[in-house]
Amino acid sequence: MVESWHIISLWSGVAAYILTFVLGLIGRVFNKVNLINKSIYPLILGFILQGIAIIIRWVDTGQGPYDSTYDVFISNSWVAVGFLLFLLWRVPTLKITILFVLPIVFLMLGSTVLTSPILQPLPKSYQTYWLTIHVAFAKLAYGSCLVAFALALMYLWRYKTNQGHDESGVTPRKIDELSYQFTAFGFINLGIMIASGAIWANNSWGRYWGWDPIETWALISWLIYGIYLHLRKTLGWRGVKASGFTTAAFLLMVFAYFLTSYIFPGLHENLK
Amino acid sequence: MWRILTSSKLALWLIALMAIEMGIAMFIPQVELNDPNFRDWAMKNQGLVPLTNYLKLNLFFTSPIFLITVSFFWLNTLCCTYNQLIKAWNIFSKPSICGGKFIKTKVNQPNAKELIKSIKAVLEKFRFRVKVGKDNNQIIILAIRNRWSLWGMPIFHIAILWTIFGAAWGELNRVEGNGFVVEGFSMSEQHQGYTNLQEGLLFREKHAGFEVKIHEIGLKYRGKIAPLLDNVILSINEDGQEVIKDTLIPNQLIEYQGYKIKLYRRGFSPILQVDDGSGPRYSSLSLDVHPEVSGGESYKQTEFIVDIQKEIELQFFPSPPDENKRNLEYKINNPQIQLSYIDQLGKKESKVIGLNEPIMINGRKVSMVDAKPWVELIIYKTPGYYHVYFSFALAILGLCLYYALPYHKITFDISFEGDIVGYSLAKLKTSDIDNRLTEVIKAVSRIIPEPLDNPNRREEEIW
Repeated sequence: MVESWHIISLWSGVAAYILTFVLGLIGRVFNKVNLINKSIYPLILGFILQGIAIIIRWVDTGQGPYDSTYDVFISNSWVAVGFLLFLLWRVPTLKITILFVLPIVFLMLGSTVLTSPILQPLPKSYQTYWLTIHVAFAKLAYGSCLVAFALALMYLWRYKTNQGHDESGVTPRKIDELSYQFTAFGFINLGIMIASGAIWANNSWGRYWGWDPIETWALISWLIYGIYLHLRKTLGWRGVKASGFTTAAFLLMVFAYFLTSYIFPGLHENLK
Repeated sequence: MWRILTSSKLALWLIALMAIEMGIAMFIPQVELNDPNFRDWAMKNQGLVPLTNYLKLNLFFTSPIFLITVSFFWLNTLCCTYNQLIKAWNIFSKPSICGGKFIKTKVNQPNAKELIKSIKAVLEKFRFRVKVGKDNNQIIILAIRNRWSLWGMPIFHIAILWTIFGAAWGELNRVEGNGFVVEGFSMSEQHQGYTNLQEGLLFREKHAGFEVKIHEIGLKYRGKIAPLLDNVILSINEDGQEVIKDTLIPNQLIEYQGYKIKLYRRGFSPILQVDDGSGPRYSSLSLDVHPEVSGGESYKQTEFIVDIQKEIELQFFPSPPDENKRNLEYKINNPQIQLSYIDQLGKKESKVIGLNEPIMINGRKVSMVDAKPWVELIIYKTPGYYHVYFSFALAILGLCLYYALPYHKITFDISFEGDIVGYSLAKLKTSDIDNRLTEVIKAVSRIIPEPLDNPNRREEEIW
């Protein structure tokens, strides 16, 4: 019964996101700014419904959203929408970003159909507050980097279509800058995620770093984002080059986060 | 040379090189991480094995290639950090030399002194530290906030240096081992020809000068799944003297002289006696216990080499107690093992034997003389981890200082010429578009008759 409420709430949220996307798309194609502006309402509704779905499952199973790919996809996509709403709160005229973030959210939520929602009992090593810290910062990092990636894509798209100021009144330079700010925030959170993971590993497995594939790929992602921040600060990379780099860095991080668990065996087997 | 060492481009190339090296290393199974995987990989990629061994690609993270790259990166970061510290100190102690966008314009202002007072009030409202200096016909207003953030990047880079130092220090002094210890034995205890087949790095503990002995292993019966490890009574002995005797439960540690001892897994160990006529020799088989095994009877097969140099398959039947009596103390009753072996004619044979029921295998008398539980202990000492933890905290502090508290500096350089006031403005920015600074500029603009974004203004980059 409780599980049904979880599913109803989750997929109602997805329906609200679909409505958001459709409104945004129609608004963009037919140049109806009013529709784009109104798309924020179903987005907020979807965010609330998805949040309720996560809470229902958390209360029902007694396990947070980190133990299975099903939960990881749902919670990560929720955090990403949270960051999108934060962006729209700060820059309300940038609602067109919805068209760049939601497709990735749909991919993540769609993937849950292919995964099993059945949870295994948590091993002893997972019953620690370091898990909460590690997972919370991982979600913040990936959510923030996803929005940075969407903004970078948006910049590249505008560049490709030779658009300067559009009806939103937001300049490409501002988009580039926002992408940088989200990346910097993601970089800090990624760092905290790696550090808290190391402390947890030391407590659980007796070493803080073991070159486990997912550890190593997370470090590689962090280094790549570090390169991006350096390129921006010291070599003055902006615009197309910076956005291209952000896009590539995010794709690498997706590889590090999800695919390494399938390709390389390691200790983060629960992400399969 | 110094220019090369302090080159940020070199730093970028080195970071990229490290990332690429790590990425490549992930495609080759690392021996330390998973030895059987490497053996499988080596079988499939025999052509690459000599190169892999030569370059130590299967032990990549301790290989010369990786260590040299990391060393260069460390040196480069050290030099860059030194430069950053000097630069940060100069700006921190003498803020007037820093640059930013320099805006010059002229405005009509009949009451310049009132203007200066108003600017100062506005800046102080925005938490700027304001200093006003006078020199003949000129007044300079210098306003700074968040100047501590200048240290953000140097602190972050010091933290990176510290992390690598801590990791290297820890690696050089690290002791890590795991071992299967059978009830009643100590880790390094020898029992005639007793051979622990899965000893791993366990005997490093000899260098620590103490011994761990397992006195008793408490197991609880859990029905059809593997028994639960309840507690273990162990002692730490030094020079034959018992120093600590304690009960250890799963997920707890015992610490001794900086070493941490932890329970990891449990299983059963039938002890086999092999006699080929030259006296009995003993071998302990560490059989793993898997929760997914149904029936609570059969256990994972394992490799066992007596000296026949043939693989023997085993199954262990410890006769579980009544299904309904859960959480009882688990005792091994009437143990039996199934020995599968290949005889001299190359034919596969299989027999079930109980305690002290010898069978002849290829001219050798093999019998099970005992069956005891074992635990796998992990013993480790990572002396560098406090450095690493501290550096993590330092890195996060540095990043937060740099990004959350951007350094802002505004200078108004005002000169009087009759009733005309000329002023210039310099601001130092963390990012291109800083809303918080824009707010300040707007507030100041309101009290200056001619706005700062006057189209006739002249802008100079003075970085």
